[in-house]
Amino acid sequence: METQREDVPNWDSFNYINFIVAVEMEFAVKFKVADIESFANVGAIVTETTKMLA
Amino acid sequence: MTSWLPIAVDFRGDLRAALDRPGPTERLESLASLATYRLGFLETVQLDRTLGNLTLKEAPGFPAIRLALLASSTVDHLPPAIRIAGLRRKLLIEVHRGAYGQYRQELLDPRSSLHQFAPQVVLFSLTAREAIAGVPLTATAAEVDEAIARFVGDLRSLWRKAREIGNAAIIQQTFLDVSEPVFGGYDRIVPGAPARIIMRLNDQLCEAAARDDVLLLDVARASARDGIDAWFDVGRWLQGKLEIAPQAAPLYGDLVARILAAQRGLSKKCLVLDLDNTLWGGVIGDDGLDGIVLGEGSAAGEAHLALQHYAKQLKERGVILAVCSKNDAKIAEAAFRDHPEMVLGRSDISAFQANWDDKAHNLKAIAARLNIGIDSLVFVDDNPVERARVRQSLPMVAVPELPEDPAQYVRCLAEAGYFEAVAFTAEDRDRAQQYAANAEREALLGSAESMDDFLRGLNMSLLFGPFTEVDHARVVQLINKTNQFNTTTRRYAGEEIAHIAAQPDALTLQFRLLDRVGDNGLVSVMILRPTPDDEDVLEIENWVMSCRVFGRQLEFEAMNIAVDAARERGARALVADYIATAKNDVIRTLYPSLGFTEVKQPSPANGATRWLLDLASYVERDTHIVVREQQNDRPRDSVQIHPHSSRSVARRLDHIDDGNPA
Repeated sequence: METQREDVPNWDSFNYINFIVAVEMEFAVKFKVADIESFANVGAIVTETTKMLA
Repeated sequence: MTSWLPIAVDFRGDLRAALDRPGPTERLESLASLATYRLGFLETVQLDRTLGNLTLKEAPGFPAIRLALLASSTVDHLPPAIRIAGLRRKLLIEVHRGAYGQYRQELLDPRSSLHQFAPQVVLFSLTAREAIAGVPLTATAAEVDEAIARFVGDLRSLWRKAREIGNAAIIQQTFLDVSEPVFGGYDRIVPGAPARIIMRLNDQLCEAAARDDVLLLDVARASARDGIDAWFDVGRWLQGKLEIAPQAAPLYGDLVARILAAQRGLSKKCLVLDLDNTLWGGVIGDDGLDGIVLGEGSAAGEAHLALQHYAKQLKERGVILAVCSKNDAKIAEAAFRDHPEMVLGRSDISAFQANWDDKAHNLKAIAARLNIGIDSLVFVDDNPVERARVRQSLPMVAVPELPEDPAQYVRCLAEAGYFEAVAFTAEDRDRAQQYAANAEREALLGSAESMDDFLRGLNMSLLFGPFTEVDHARVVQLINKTNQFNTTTRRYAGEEIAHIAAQPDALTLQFRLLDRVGDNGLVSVMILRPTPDDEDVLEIENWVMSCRVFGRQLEFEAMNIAVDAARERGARALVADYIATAKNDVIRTLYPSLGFTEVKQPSPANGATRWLLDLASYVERDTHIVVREQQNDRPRDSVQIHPHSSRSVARRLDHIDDGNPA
């Protein structure tokens, strides 16, 4: 949950987009552009996803 | 969006299984078959990563293509989809992706990585934003046209630059309209409205592409079908300047790969149609001619009609049509002849397989009859069980996953893009005619009372002569391509044929069959030479015949001619080997049927039997073929009635006179 971009070797913007697309498809949610920009770590994505599913 | 592909039941499991295969080639084959399933964006990326790990730049049966993708938006997500769609067609596509927005510099700099990559194909993926940017909403029509002309002119110089790199083929993506209405419906009227500019831009682009021989990747058309939301996601644009939405990537890749395949002649050639509940509603064997659902007046009937109309259009552009149906042939053919609502006539169908055999077997028969590869067939069948069975036993046949509702059949077939074209030539237009000629022969056969009737009605004539120089290329092609009617499967190079033809003791014969429907061309070749130990015995070194003319009595007439020619040389016997192969079983009894007797050999070579014909006892066979000898020293059209043939003509006339054909 604490994992950040810097923690993953070779992480780049393409990986990030793929990751966001994967979460959006899996949970049928759509993140706000501003949120995508500001997610600090995996935990933030989980929190936002849970909020949208609620 | 790639709904014609079947759904993968267990993608992850199949992917693991593919990786467990022993060698890299086997793994590649497994990944290629996995690529024929409907895959989403993420699965495509995953499969592509696995493909990349194989690090194969080439593999037998998988031609490699180098494609450069030059874009004015982020396209990092597109190469995986392009590679996987290539894999679906057994193409290994290597993609060079230019640095973001750097394509101009890359094109101009001969030391750039683009130049080093040496692409065979360059794909321009540009957004309309650059074109619209400088044009105010208040621009006049003339100003807009000028701006568009300038933009398209610039594009054409980019194409020229790209083409200078090793004569690369150019593909230009059409412009996606992601604009929002400013005036509403009135947008189309205001010259400076974005929607109108893009419309004009695409128009001008198409004209320029036609002039410059550039192919189009028509995402504009695709997005008009799927809806712009399926292609463009404003969030992704803002987040990473992606103009093509990730979920559209698999279809984008397929659109690219089908053009690349078409350039290499790998588009499908033949549409094979099932009948019951596909070409019409209901089961004709049960429901009868007037019970099937077809034609105006019922929605379902019109849906099936629409499929027929679509097939007819495909036929007009050179796609061959065939039928493969579990049906009684007579009943099935009657529908084509007698049902008033049928759009497709029997003569539109070049190969008609209606019987109770396995469909995979019939598809093979269709490919053989049409002389095309099984991998150039598309098989359309409403029955999921039949589809699955064909996919399993003939994975090279394209089998669209037809939706349940016949109303959607045409859309599904069209979306699959099996018949993607990169040209429309005179040859394409003639192809329909050429195959129609064959179909006409088939129809004659269908209406004839007997086989004999049919053959007589064909008005066949045979031209024959020794090999002449103009024939050499075709002779070599026929010998080396023919697998079925090929007595010894000896293959020859071009010079060898020229050498044999020049030898005075060699007897070469080439046969050209014409009939009332058309010229079948040079369809059979025979090479005879004296045996080493007895020069009065001629050996048939090889004899081949095109499968297009099987069952026309040509083998009988050819032997009559060979015997005549051998007698003229003072020969007293013919000998011939039949060397059995996996493919020439069809002529296993050829020589005995012509009056040859087997020569027992002490130690026969593997699969070979040897046959002897005593010329003194040869009984000439009657056929329905008129024979004319082609003169060696005269042009092809100049022919002379051969003494032998006048005999057979006279004999045939006798038969007709006494009403008792042989």
